[in-house]
Amino acid sequence: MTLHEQFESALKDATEEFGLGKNYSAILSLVEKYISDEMPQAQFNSQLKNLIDSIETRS
Amino acid sequence: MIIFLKGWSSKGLRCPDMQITLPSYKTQNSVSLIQMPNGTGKTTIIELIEACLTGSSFTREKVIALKGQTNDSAIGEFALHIYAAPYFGRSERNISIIIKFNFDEGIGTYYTIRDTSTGQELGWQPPSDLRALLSPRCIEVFVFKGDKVESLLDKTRDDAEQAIKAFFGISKVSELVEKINSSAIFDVQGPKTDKGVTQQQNVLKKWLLQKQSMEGEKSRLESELLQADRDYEEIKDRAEKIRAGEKDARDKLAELESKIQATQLEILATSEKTLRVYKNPLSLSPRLTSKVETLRSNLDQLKLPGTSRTFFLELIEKSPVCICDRPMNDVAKGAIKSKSDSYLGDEHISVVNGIKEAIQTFSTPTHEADEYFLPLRELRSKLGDLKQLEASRDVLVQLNISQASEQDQQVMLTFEECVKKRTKIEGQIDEISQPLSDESLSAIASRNADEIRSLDAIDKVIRSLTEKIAETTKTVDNFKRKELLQECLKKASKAALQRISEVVCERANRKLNDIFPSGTLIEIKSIGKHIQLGFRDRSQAKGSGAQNVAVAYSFASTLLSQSGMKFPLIVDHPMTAVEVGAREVLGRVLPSVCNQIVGFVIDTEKEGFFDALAQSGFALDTLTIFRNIPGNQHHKDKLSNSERAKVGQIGSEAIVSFDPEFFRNFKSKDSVLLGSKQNV
Repeated sequence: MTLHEQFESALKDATEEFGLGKNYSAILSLVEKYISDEMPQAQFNSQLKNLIDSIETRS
Repeated sequence: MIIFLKGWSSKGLRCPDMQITLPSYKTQNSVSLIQMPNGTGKTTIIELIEACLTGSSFTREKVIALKGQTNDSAIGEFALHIYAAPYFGRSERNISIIIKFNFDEGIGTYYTIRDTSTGQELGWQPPSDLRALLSPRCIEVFVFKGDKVESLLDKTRDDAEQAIKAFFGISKVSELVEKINSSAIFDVQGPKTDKGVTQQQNVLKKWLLQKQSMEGEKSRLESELLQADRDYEEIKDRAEKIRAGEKDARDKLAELESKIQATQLEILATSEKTLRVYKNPLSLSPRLTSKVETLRSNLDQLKLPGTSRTFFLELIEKSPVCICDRPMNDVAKGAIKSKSDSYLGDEHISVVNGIKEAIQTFSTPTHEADEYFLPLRELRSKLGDLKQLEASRDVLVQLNISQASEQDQQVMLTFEECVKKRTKIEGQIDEISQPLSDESLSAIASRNADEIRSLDAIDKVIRSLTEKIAETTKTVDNFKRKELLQECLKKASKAALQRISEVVCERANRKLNDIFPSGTLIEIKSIGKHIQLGFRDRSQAKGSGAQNVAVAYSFASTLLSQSGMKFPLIVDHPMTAVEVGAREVLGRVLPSVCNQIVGFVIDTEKEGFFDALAQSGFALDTLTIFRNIPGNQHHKDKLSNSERAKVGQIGSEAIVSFDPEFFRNFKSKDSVLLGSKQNV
C-alpha cells in the first residue's frame, strides 16, 4: 500500500465512522482536487455545496 | 515522477557569474559535490535555488543585497534548471525557473519555462504535477542545511511531523478544513447552532401563546358585547321614556321661568309708574287741595311789604304830614326813610307770587280720584301673579324630583353603564382586530409578545419568525454537515498522519540498516512531532553526528521516494557534523538511499567522504568553483591543461573545474590557515 493509499484508507475509515460512507468518493475528489491546486474558487464552492447538500446528518 | 536538479546559472549577482550543468543530472542515485571556498557565494546560490523552488517573493532590501560588487548594470539573473524524467507516458521535460532582478527598482520577477517546447512565461508557474511538493515545508526537507539534522530530532520542534504533512498533502487537507470554514456558501447571517434555533423557537412560542391568549380574549369580548347589546336593547325603551318625561318637565319649568322673568319686568315698570303718580301729594287728598286753595286766596289778599315801602317813599316825597299827623320834616323824613329799608322789597314779593302760582298749578286736579289708585292696584296684581308663578315653579321642581323614582334612576344608571360597557368592549375588540402595516413589523417583532394585542400584528410576527426559523434550521443543518465533514477530514488526516509516520519510520529504518554497520544499536523508534531515536525499550535524544546525519538523510529520502515523486536532496554542508570514520560509511551507502544528492561542501568535509563516494560505484560529479581573482592564481595553476582550456568559455568571474583530482587536492586559503594553526 502506497502512502497516498494510506490517506485514502484513513479517509475511508473516517467517512464510515462519521456515517459519510456514501459521500466518500465526493470527499476524496474534493480533497484530491484541492491538493492538486487545480480547482478555481467558484468550482470549489460549487463542489463543496453539492457535497454538503448530499450529506445526510444523523438524527 | 523523478525530478533531478540539472543545474543553474547566475549573472550580475553576489555569487560569481556561472552556468552550471551537473554531468549526472539524469542518473539515479548520483551524487554531485560542489566545492566552494567561503566567500564564493555558496549560501547565495542555495538561497536562490530555494527561492526558485518555492516562488517566494523578495523584499527591496534583499534584491539590492543580491547585487554583485562588479556589476555596473541595473539587472541580474538567476535560473534554476530541473529535469523531469519521463513517467506514465509523459515525455521528459526540461523546466527552468528564472528570477530577473532589477536593482534600481529593487524587484525580482519570476519567469518559467515549463518545457523547452513552451516559451518563457511571466510568473512562477511550475507544472501542476510538480507544484504539490514545492511548498516551503517540502522544500525544507530536500533543500536542507546542516542544522536541519538537529531540528528533526529536537523534541521541542515539530519539523518531522510538518515535513510528513507537507509531503503527503496532509497540510493541504488541514488547509482545506479551514477553507471550508471560510467558504462563501457558509457566509450567512443569523444563528448557526441548535441553541440559536431553540432561542428563536422560544420566542415563537411566546408569540403563539400571545396569539392564543388574544384569540381567547377576542372571543370573550365578542360574547360580552353580544350580552351588552342585548342588555342595551332591553333597557333602551325604558330609558328613552324616562328621558322624554324629564324633557316635558324641563320644558314646563323653562316656560314658568320665562313668565316669572316677564312678570318681574312688568312689576318694575308698574312700580315706577306708581311712584310717579304719588310724587304729587295734592293728588293723594281732596281736603289737602282745598286747604291749599284757601292759602292761595289769602295770599292774594296780602299787602306785601314791598308795596308799603313804596308807600313810605311816596309819603316822604308828596305828603307834608306823616300818617300820624305830625309834620313831615326832615327828621321825620329821615326816620321814615331809614325804617322803610326794613320792610320787604320786590324780591320778596316774587317769592310769595311763586307760592301762589304753584298752588294754582298743583291744586288743579289731573285725574279722577279713582284713577290715583289704579297703578297701585296694578302693582299689587302683578306681585300676586309673580308669587303664583314662583309657587308653580317650586311645585314643579319639587314634583319633578319626587316623580324621579328610584327605579327610574336605577334604569338610567344601568342604561348609562350599558352604553359605556358597549363602547369599551367595542374599543377592545377594535384594538385586537387592528391591522398592522408591514413597515411596523420589525419594530413590533423586537418588542415583548405580551405587549402586542393586535392579532394581525401577532400573525405577521409569527409568520416572519417561522420563516426565519426555517432558514436558521437549514443553516444550522448545513453547518452541522460542514462540521461533520471537517471532523471527518481531521480524523482522516490524523489517522493518515499516524499510519504514514509509521510507514516512514519503518522504511527509514530499513535505509538506516543499509547505512549503519551491522549491530549498531540505534534506530528511529517513532516519528511524531520529532524523530525519536532509541533501540527497543530505550530512547535517546540524539545519536552521534554521523548517526544523526544518516537519520536525517534516511528520513528525507524516504519522504522523497515514498511521496510518489523522487526529488534531489540538496544539502549545504552535508558532512560538517560527521567524523571522518563515519563519513566513509555514509559515503559508501548514502547514494543508494537517495535519488540524487547535490551537496555544497567546503574542502574540510571531503576527507573520508569523497573517497568513499568515489569507491561506491555510484555516479559522482565533482565541481570546484572559485572566483577568478589574482589571489586564486595558485588554484588556477593547478588546473589540468584540458580544464584550463575551458576557463575562458566558462566566464571571467568564476573558475569551474569538473576534475575529480583537482577536487580532491583543492584546499582553500581558510583551511590552509586553519591547518597551519592546528599544526602550531
